[in-house]
Amino acid sequence: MSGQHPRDLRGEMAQAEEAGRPRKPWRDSLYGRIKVSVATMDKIIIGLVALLVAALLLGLVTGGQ
Amino acid sequence: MQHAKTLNKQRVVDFFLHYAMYIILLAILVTVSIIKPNFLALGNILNILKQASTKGILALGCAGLIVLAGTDLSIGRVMGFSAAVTAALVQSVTYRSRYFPEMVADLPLIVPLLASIAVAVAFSLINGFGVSKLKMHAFIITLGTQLIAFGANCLFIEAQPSGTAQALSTFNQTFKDVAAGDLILGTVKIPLVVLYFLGLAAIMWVVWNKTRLGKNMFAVGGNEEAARVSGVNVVKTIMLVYLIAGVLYGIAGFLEAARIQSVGANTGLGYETDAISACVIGGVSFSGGVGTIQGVVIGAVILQAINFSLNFIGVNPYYQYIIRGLIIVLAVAIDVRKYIVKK
Repeated sequence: MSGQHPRDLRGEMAQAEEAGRPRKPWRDSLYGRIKVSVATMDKIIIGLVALLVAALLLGLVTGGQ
Repeated sequence: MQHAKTLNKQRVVDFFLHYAMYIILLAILVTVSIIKPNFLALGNILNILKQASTKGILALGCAGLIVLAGTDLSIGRVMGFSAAVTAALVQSVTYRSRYFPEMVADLPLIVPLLASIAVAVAFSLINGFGVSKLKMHAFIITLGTQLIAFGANCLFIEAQPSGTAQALSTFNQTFKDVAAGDLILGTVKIPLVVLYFLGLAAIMWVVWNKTRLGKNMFAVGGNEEAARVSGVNVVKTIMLVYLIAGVLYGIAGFLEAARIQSVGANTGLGYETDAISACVIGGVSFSGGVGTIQGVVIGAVILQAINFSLNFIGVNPYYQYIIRGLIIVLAVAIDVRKYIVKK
């Protein structure tokens, strides 16, 4: 062990570092990196709702053809 | 005073955005019932529940996997293969083109049921092993098993003695009575499949809320590393959740064969979309560790009600796909918003 060069221990060191650091919950991993404010999300949701209503109306209009 | 008004307005906006999904879905249903008042006829409601049942059973299985922060793309094809195996074993012995001509008496129904479950469990355990032991992403492994199940199903259907790939049909009466019959209460006929769905939902509620497996499942889904450190056997938990999902897919395949009365290679196509959508609409978070059985049941029924109502008022089928897709995207957007607000 003592004779080993630090570069050969890189894998073990990375593993030890990984084990010491608490892992993020899944929710944080998935959404944590999203840099969006609540106001932006509100706009996105309103936009999606508008799209949904538009698709419904267009579907109704073209459905009868 | 002005501040209080602004605060109240903000609360109302927050409420509408938080529950936007349910409000929109209810609005669609209310609009449809205004356009066509007979939409709310008892027959239609029972029909919606009947159609929602098998997909709901699939969603019950799939929900556990989503709570584990995974998913299952093989649901539809695996269920289709299970349904084909069931169909081959329950064909009427008087039907000349039956799959097993050497069969001269109807098999006890437990045999096709167990065969159906065995097929689905086999695929589900492969998925579970891939996810828990090999650390594969659920998306990839279930994509693979989806294709394998489809290929195996096509081969199975083509292997019938007639040499054709015709759909398997003409089932024996006992099977039709038990799996697709009705419970007659006065003038009301309640489809048995609805009762089976509710029964399975009740069992799953107990599993999720009253057993150690349920608690471990939420722990692993919420934070796998923390669960492992707390002494939870992560591999065993994931395998058990996949096993339960397989059992539910097998039961769904058995019931679906009876409901559609004819099982072909395309049976189950796209069912995974409906099952996953039902979970998402029902509040099961893709980020893992969040979800309820009652949410899944409501999600399955609402989704089927939407599908049924869009057909009922004659919405263009291509737009129906767009609407269903938007509903899923909207559900995820609301989930992200909830996360950001909480953070």
